[in-house]
Amino acid sequence: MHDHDDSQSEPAVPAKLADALRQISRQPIDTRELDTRVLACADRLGSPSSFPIRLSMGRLVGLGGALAAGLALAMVFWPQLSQPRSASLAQSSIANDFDRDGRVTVLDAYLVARGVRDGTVDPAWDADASGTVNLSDADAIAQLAVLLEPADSAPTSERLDSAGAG
Amino acid sequence: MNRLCALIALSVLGAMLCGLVLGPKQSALVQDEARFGWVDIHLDAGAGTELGAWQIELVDATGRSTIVGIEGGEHPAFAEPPHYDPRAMADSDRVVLAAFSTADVLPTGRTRVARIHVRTTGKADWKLTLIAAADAAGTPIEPETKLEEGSAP
Amino acid sequence: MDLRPDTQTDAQLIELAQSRSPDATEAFEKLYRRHRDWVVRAARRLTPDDQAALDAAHDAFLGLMRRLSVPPPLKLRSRLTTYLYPAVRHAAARAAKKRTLPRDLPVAGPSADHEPAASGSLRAALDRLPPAQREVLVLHTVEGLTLEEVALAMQTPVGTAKSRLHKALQRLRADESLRELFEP
Repeated sequence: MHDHDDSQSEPAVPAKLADALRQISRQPIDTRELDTRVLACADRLGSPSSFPIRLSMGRLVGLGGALAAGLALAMVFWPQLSQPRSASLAQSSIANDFDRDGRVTVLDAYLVARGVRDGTVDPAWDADASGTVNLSDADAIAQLAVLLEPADSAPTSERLDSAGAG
Repeated sequence: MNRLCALIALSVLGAMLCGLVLGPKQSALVQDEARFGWVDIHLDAGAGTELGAWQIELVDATGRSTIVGIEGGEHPAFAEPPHYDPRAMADSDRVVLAAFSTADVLPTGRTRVARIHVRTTGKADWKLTLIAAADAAGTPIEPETKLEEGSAP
Repeated sequence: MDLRPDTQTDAQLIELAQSRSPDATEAFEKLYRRHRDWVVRAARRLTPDDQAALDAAHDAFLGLMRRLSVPPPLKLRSRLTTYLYPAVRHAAARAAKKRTLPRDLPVAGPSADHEPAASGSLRAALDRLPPAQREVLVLHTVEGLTLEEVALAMQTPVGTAKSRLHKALQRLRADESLRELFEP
């Protein structure tokens, strides 16, 4: 409910009050970090498909981590995509399709996670090439499964069917 | 003459109808009011089935929404935010979410597995697709999916 | 394209920012730098700390950027700040919800050591004002919006903004400690 009162004239704010209000309202805030965060996205406006990323402080760090993880994943998975597979992976036509259902999904990650929990891991599940199979491998596969394809590529269902295919 | 009058009347009527149809869009364009809200993702694996892993795709078919945040679910096993592509926050009317849990206690029956915070300019048309799910033993299951939308006051 | 500083209106920059041309980025940057401090100040009044204010400002600008990047083109019919302010309010409300803040947030941001004594009284008096009255008073007096623009920014009728300003001034005038601020 609004308190309408269209009839009254515009109240005048005394000059001293206005000055005092301005004084207490103009506390400087360091905006350098904001500048970086906002302007880092601004160059997207000049591209045909421009969608700014919402970067909160936490996400900025998270996104950096995700990009690093993405690079690491790409480095890890690239040999599997481009070269003959190991004996274990050869059982499936798709790399990281550990449950051999024809696509890479969270179920592959879950297979690895349960194997880690139960102590029944397959060396081939070392998705991040760390030398051991642990929950990081499960997380890496889950992260791979949720990657969005570029807007003009195949729908998710098709991409999942072919994710990691050599 | 009568035909001419009828033609003019029809033209006026047509113009008024066009105004009715286009008018609200134009004012919406000027106002461009964005609403903040959320979309809850519920999965129901059934009363006796534990949900161990799930993966879904959520799309706003209208393309009017922006995903601004992703929260985990209500059950402790899925309380952490699910996996998602950070690019979903950019090309953000669409996201693929996935989570798994090896906890001793997993949810059964209907459970909210994630809450997606969104910013929408207009009426969204959310499409939820189950990509994969498994029970506690890793056996694929097909839980029922349900969307619930809420909006900030 | 001529991008010399301070020669283009917000409306021109908005148009340029939507042009998908190489100048779009620079146009947005100019808009950002032109309105950043205003938005941060507005956000700070609605949030409990500087960080939350910066996050809210960030959301507001990214909201604008996203709006500029998708059709239909945004046509600026009033000051850009009246467009940004509702976004700041939304973002601040989200921050408040997340952090379970008290309902009445301080309006004036952190106090400074060098402030005159009267400023402390004014700050306290402002905090006692109903938030809507305080918002109108500050937007109008400090940020220089006309009451019509305040109404637009707060998405209320002009009469409501006017009434709120009137009531805010009445309350402050009734405060003995602020008497000197109402003297001619």
